[in-house]
Amino acid sequence: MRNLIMLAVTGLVLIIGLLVAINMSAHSLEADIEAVSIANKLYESGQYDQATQILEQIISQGVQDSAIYYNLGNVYYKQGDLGRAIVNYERAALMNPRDSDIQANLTIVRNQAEQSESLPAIAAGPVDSITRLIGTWLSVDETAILALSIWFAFSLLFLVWLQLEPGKARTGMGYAALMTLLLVAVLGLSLGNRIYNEKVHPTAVVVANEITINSQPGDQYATEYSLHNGAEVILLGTQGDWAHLSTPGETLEGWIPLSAVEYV
Amino acid sequence: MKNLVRSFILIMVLLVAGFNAIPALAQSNNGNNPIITAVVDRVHVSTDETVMLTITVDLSGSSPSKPQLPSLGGFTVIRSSSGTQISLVNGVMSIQETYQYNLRPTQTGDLVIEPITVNVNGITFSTDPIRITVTQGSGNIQPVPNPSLPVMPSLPSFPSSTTFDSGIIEPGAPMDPSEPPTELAGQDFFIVAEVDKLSPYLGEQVLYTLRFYNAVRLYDDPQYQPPGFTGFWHEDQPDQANYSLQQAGRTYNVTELQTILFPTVIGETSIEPAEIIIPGGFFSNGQMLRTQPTTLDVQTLPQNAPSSYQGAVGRFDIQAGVDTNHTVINEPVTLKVTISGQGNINNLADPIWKEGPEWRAFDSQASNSIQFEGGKLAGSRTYERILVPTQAEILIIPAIEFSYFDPETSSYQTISTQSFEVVVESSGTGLTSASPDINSGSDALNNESPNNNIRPNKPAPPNWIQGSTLLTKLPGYWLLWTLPLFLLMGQLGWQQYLKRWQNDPSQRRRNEAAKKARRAVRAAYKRPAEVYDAAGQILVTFISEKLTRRISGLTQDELDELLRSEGVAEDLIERVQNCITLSESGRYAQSGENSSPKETLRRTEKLIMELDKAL
Repeated sequence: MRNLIMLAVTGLVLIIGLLVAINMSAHSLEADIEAVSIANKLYESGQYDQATQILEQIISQGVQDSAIYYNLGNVYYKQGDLGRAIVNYERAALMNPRDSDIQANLTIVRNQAEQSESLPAIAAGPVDSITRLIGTWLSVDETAILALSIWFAFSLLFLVWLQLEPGKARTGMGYAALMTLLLVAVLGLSLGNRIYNEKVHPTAVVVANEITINSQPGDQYATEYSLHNGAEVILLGTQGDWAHLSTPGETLEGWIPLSAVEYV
Repeated sequence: MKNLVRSFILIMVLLVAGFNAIPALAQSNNGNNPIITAVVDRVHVSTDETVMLTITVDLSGSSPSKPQLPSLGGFTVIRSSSGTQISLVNGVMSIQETYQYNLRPTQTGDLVIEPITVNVNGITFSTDPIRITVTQGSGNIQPVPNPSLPVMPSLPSFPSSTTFDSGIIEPGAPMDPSEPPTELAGQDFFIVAEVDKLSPYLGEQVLYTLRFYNAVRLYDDPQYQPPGFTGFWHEDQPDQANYSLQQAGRTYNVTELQTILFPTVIGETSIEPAEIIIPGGFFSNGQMLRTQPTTLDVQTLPQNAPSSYQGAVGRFDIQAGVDTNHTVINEPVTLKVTISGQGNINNLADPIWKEGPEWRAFDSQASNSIQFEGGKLAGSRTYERILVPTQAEILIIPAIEFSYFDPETSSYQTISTQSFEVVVESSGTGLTSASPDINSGSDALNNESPNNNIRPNKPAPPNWIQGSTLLTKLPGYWLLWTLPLFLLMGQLGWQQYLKRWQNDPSQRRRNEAAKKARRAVRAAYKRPAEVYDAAGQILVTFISEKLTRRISGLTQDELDELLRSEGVAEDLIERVQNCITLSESGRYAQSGENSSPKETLRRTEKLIMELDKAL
């Protein structure tokens, strides 16, 4: 009986811990529905510059909402700015990867920008593949919560396993604990890989019309290669006003002015 | 079992350490940096001058909201700007947003800019208060300085040469560029710097020209180190001019670099020397050419500046227009205002917008267009302001005033736009939809293919997240990963406790002695006639169980000695003896000779509690 109470208390503490994690980053407040409605009306009437202005102002106030980024992507698309459209769809997709509207529009714009597929990771391997797969379903925060939940579940299963007498129940509990531990490892690796890539090799999109890739940071080092508006690249570093980048699959590496790219 | 538990703890420690290491590695650059900093360019100013307040917000590890300015009592904000700086160093990206405010003091004395706050994920970060001493000025209000940080110009490309010779130091003095300077007397290299005005007004543009004369071929490009232009805001002419001229029997290639300067301080102000470093060759050493400093006498602006004057110097025009004069409630009108002319376009203060509460205004994003025209900086600054009417009536968009100082006529000029009348109806068709179907073909792109039809906009969600940050960037999240470790330790401790409890009956009796004694006291209350007897019995039983030995056969001295050896205080021992004595005498004494039964039990209970702590 006492053991059961102790396990129940442990479970309760873990659930409270999980709720704390879920509420840790979210600070929602009432949306400025009027401003978004005005922006949407401007968009529908073809006044894209003004719609952009309102949506950009909302974002500059610190609002993080996939619908706002998605709408902004639409506005840029209508203006013919494929680069900024992709950047904003990508931002929206990071927050809400399962939204079919975002994915559909992103595909259309990528096709038009001759960017047939999203960027592969710099060194594609099993971990990168799993990371990409999970990334198409879960945002970073969702992955973090799920990994923590399974970690807690594993801990609880292990504690129950410790209490049980040898027998079938204990063996079953042991296998369940092992399975959860495996899941924790997969999700943890994926999460770590994603954080690392987003921090160290952030993706960016070319927003200039067409930009020549230079071999060194400087106008005098121009090469015969160029990147078009909407090309997705990986930022490797910066030097002054120049960005060092590589293209998908590391087919091309070079420098372009920092103002010609926007990071996702 | 022990091995398994050890393995589990090891797994937990490794996993938690591993998961914590990745974000810690990725975020190692921003661990100690403050989220927000605020600095001013000066702490002693006069009422004629302005203070540049620069607020820097580190966005690397979070998504903070816009900084909240406190009430700036004693100052007026006459201009603000912001910019984002992204850098990627050693593979780690950092982002900083900088907000700059030009503040003009409106009163003298010691003024304080209260802490500026920024909200990050519900946590408020703030700067230290900034103290500024303001003295009375002469009334000559200075123009607002350009908020952009000084930028080192990129090195220009010079023609190559093969030999090296001496350079000449040349004082800055206006000269005709088609005529070679008199000091040019056959040297291989020569540089000269000049300005087109020696007594400009504060904020008036001055053309600074540097010429490099080169009569030989260079092995490598020379390096140009421009002056710091302290006391000036400057705009570099991006294109360099190249031409040839003959002097002293030699042909010189001349490279000309121009910079527009805007003086920001009154009085004598020097332009530091410019330097050109000629790289050495195989058989020769490199050398450095340097100009002499050039001194300008900057004039103050006249008094009697109009109230709408905010520091513009030059010659300007203002135009405005609205996209429609007829709309309905909640459908926007776009007001476009363009200020154009010659002067420091990038430095123009925003006009003072005067719309009333009948309009909901969205901040305008100003766009600048500048060009060099005959050695002058000219261009335009355009604001597009979205105004949404909130009332159905004929509304007025007020005229916008703009004042500037014209150095040619040495006078202030005030220009203004017209006001606009907009008829706002309560309902109607409102805006004429250029593309009512958002998937129509009126877009900038050719979207005729059905496959290219993008999905429509989404409505605003009822709630949205502001200033959020990724969970994985919060230390609290990673601390939660350690929670099972503590719970496991708690579980193991609990198991140990239970094990000891079950295997040691005497220990169990000892632990439960106080509880049992209190229960007995409560039972004794119900039998007042047996109180004195019960009190002594309860106490003796409690001490026996607590010390895990019988004490009923002990003498008074032996009990005293036993309690003393257990560390019980003398006062407490004495009260134990009194209680036992009272118990024995109470059994035989007449009622009323001793204290009441209830009081006796209360004392006994208190004594048990104190002994429980002492033993």
